[in-house]
Amino acid sequence: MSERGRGVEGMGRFAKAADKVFAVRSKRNGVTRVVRERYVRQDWECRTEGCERCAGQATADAGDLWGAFPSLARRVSGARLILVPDFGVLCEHTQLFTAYPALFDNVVVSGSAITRLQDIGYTRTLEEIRTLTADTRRSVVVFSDHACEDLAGEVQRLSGGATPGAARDLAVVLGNFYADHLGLGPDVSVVVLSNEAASEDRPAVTPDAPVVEVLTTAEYLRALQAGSRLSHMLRSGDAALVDKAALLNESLDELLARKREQEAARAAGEGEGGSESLMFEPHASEAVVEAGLKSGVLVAGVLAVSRRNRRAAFVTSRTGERIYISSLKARNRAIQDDEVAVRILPRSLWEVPPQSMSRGRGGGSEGSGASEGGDSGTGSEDAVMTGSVVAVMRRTLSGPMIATLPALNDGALVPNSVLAVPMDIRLPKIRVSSSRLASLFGQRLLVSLDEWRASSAYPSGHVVRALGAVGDAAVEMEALLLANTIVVEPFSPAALAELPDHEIGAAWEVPAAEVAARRDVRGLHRVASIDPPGSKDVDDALSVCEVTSGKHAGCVEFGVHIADVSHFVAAGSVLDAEARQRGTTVYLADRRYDMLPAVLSEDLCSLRGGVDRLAVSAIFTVDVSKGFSVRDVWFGRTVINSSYQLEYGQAQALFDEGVGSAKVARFAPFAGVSQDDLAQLRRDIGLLVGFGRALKEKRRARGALELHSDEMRVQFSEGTAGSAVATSSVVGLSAKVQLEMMDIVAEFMILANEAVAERVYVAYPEAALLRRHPLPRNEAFEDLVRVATLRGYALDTSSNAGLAASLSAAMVGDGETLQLLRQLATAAMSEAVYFSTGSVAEDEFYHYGLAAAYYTHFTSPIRRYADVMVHRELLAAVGDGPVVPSLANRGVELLAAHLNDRNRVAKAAQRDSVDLFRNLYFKLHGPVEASGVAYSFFDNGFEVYVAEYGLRAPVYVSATELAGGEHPWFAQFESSGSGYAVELDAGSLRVVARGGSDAELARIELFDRVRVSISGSDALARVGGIAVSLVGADAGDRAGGASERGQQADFRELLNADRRVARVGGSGYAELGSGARRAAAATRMKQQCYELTGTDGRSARKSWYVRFAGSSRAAAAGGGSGSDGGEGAGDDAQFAARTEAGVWERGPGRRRYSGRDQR
Amino acid sequence: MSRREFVSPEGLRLDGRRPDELRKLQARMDLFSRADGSAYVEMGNTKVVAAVYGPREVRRASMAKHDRAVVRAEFGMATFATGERKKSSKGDKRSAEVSQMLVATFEPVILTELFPRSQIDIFVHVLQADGGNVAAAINAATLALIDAGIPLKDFVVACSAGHIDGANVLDLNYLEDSSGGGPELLLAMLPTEATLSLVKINDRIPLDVYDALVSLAMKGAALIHEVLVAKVKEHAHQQAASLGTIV
Repeated sequence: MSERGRGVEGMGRFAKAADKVFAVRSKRNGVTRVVRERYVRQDWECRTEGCERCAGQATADAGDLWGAFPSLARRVSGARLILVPDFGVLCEHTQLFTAYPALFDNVVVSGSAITRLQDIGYTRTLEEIRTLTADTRRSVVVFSDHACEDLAGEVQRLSGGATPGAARDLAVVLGNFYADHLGLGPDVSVVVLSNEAASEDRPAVTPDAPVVEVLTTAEYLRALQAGSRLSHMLRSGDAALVDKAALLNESLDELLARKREQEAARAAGEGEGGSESLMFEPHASEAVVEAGLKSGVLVAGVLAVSRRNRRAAFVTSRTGERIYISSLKARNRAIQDDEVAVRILPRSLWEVPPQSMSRGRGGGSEGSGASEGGDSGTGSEDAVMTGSVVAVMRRTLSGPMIATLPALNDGALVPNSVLAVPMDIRLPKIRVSSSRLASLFGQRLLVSLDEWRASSAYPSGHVVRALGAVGDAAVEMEALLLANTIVVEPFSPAALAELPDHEIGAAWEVPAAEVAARRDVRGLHRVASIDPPGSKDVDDALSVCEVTSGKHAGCVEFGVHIADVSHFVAAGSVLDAEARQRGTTVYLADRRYDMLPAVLSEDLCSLRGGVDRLAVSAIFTVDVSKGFSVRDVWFGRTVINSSYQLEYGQAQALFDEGVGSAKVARFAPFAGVSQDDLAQLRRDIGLLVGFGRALKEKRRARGALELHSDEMRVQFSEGTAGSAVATSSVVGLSAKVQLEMMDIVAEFMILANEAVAERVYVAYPEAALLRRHPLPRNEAFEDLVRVATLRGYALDTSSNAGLAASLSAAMVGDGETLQLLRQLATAAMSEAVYFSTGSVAEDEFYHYGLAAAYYTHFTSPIRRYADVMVHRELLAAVGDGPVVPSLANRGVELLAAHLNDRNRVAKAAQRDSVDLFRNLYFKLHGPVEASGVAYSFFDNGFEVYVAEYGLRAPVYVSATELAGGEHPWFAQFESSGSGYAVELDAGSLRVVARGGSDAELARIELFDRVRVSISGSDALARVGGIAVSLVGADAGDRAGGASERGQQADFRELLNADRRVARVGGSGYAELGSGARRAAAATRMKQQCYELTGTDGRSARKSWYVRFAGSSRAAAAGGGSGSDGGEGAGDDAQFAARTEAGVWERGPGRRRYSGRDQR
Repeated sequence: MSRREFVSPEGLRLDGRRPDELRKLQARMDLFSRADGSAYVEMGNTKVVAAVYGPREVRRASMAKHDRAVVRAEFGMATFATGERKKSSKGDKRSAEVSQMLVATFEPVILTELFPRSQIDIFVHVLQADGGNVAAAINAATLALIDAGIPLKDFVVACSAGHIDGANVLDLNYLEDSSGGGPELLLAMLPTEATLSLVKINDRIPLDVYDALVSLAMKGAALIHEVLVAKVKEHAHQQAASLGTIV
């Protein structure tokens, strides 16, 4: 028998203490005794740097087992102030620990507190604390006092938690233990934080023990302020810190006061026995939820609020189903991105999602109520699976949100509590109260959500801090970054210390050892890099080299060389941890937050022209004579010297115009280059282009989609880009111009990525970091299909090849429709995500957009961390690098999840920043008139796409538009007597005269061109709003007419289908009475064709003419020419009669039919 | 209720053990005078008693084998073994399965050819179940067989291991077994040659985890072996001392 426990190492390090015995309620409501073992250890270590007494234990960290517990490397420093928070402080003030690392650092959390958090189920607090302990930049450790032999007895006694002050005593015990263990003197350097105030029998300083001071959080902060002996113990006693502490102190006091109020109120309220009426159903308990999930009654998923209409929300289940949540009451207090459990309603109660856009935050009340906007379609065909939220399993809200307070009416008293409006339109308003409310109006605030009780229509929260005035560009930028959880701290000194000692721009030689260990392609391959203008971080370079001997003689080697970042950033180093935390470089409209310090990103890793550099290469041996088929691929580390560092435009110009062009000769990289060399470069570029085109064609055949984003570039006035931007410096917006050279380089990158993905997957089938693109299946995609169908295009959504083909077929016509359809298609795509191959079945590896079986990110390690990881995996796979430690599925899975999150927020921030500046531009230079295309109609307006600004915005049109209201366009209808009404449906907007005639005055159809006026508005809640008002409608001017034959087909088809509305030509329409229709049909049979001509040559707007054979009158009315003869004169007469009745009217370039059908 | 940290980031489990540590192991032999051999094993809070009867005359002549002994085993859990009273589980499927496992495990190890037309009965009863019941049962049965003086080729030592929270843990207790959410592996081996005698998994295991888990369980079983050997020797000394043959 062993008294001492035995581990595999064979040392007796621990012993069994008494069992923990407690009682729980058994299943049948009896009482069961539960017995749990408790082992206490002698081999604990205090986790303090430089502690000699525990130095021997450090060996416990060696060995494979401890590789699995990296947080054991975290240490607190014995030279600084050590904070020991008690359980109460941990629960209440977790946010402070997270948000103010400088003030709350060097923290020791007791293991018994962690256990207690688990016992009572405070999952979120636990997660936040765990995030803190895992963060390599901070010193927060967990000391397992419940397992430490010396402390276990005290801990056991006190951790029942039932006696008041037990938590405080526990922390004091731990604090004393630390002070004693570290041998700290009378100079206080362990502070216990406890919100239970000191009293006579609980003195602030425990006598007869090493001096440990016990303070409340507020007292602690005050102590810091005073420049006291405590403050010098912190990392930096600078003034800013003191200010922060002061501010924090105030809000902390408020927080505590309010919490006490709430507690009192709750106690009072509960005393009345639940007399408050519940606005929402109480959430089901965890046990019920688990049972429901297991049995299938409930479905788990993530909630997403529709951007277009705040009242509609969808839950996407883990199996991909979309369940519609029809009302705020059904949403049951769940918020965007929450994990929820949903009960699916019976089919008879299924509803139709609303077809209207919610206008900002106005209109209608929030809170409970009958289902809004969706009750009309109960049980109808369009109803979709509907459900209601039963419980919120996890609030994913990562942190505080940005919100503002709505403006007060003049002279109104400041109320006690106000509803703060978050900037993200999908989040609910939050009730906040503060003693300083008056000063918070008109400011951007950081607000944190506390709780949402079933009796309240809104969640309650508190203000964490105020960022600054609304509309101030710097404040808005900070708000943007905070809202997207992007951290912009500079690199830590520890990380910078790991960089090689090198100044940017200084000469750097490749170490001889590296040259010996790598493949040296200098002088063999002709290398050039092609990048956007002004880029300093050159990730990739391409090269060409003919193979003259060996089995691939006659082939050409194409090299794709990528900066060797993994050489400079070692796995497990602090720099690696920081780069991993950032995940990616964030590109905003006016600035950039780098993932790696500039020394690496702009110099040592960047493959600049003319200097030797280290690279990781994929070299493809290609037979150029046989359709560019790839014979062989080589991966490995190389040394390169890039001869030319080109811009896209320069490479394109050289390729297009040739060597002799004067413009080309003036480019900077070609200065001093001989004609022969230039010609060689052009030939090489020619080879690259040839291969690139072949690759593109192959991919297109496989079904890859060609989609471009509507990225706009913001133009600033001179000298302001990169620095803090003032409103006045935004001078314009421009769209990206697409050159073929960009596509060619992209093809090479895709080729390399695919090849590397396959190689890495083969080597590490359980833990390769790949990238996949699931099929689109979301709201935006349905929009696209709907729009296309309404317009008459059939989209084949069954596969990407089908989609690509049908999109190309649909995209015949002018540039604007093309662009619009492309952008709708891009927006409709789901996100591509990183994943670990061990977690996903192989048939889900597919990358839908690129039509690739295996894909990963390999080519941009300077700005993406995933690429660094893939580099490591690739080099280990080819045997050219150390085996990656901890290359297990779980680690890669966590990394993939983290990187997906970082990518998402970076993209969101980028979009937001362009929006921000675009809106500032409109505010400054507006109102601006532009031409746009109406592409999506709703019950209360339509969405318009303005190509010039890459803008997709809603135009709200209510049923009773008045002249002088928002839209100047409606002014022209004022004169038509008794007023007019506006009717909207899924395909058009119609202005109808009232008062008996019901004549249609005007009509805007899908894809019609409209003129709009865009101005920036000071919408408080969002990042400066945009107001779009309708100025003109060229209703007869349909954007993107199909080809003529298509038009004819349209007409014939529609006639045959007996529709009253026939589209004749590409614009406008003609409503033909049945007589005319018969005439037209008769004419058709005789004529066998219609002739539809295009423009009348007068203007860019399309006019069209219908030529009916024999109907010269009609033709004259239609402005067409000639006729064939007098056949069908009778028909003509009828037709003419109609014309005479004023049926056909010809306006300037417009054709309208107003009147009524005689039959 | 909420997900617990079965293996905390500090490398400790819920009861304070490291992932590669066994629970407290205690054993006693020769408890009952009537049985030919008996043993009592405690692994943590799991308490198992085993009794061996044999070799003796077969009860039913039809069962007899002409050249070897018949090994029978019976496994049961006391009705008070778990937190709530269970119905007697001697005849139910799970016990029958474990009984079969015991027979299959021990039959090749016992030198049955030495006792033709005889019967060896192994009775194992779990008095308190806290995870690792079958492993403790096998260990107790080994000791009981040794106590009965039945010649064995080697000890049979068993240990359970599991994969929770991404870490391989040794000797699961009931909480880790039931709520841990990971697969459990039961392994019995003959320690001298490190030959595996029984490997039982109740869930899916990724292949790379399987290898690591088996080697961990083997290390654990080897440790148990050390303890059991020491116990047997100690018991033998005591017996000898009481017979007055040891100086």
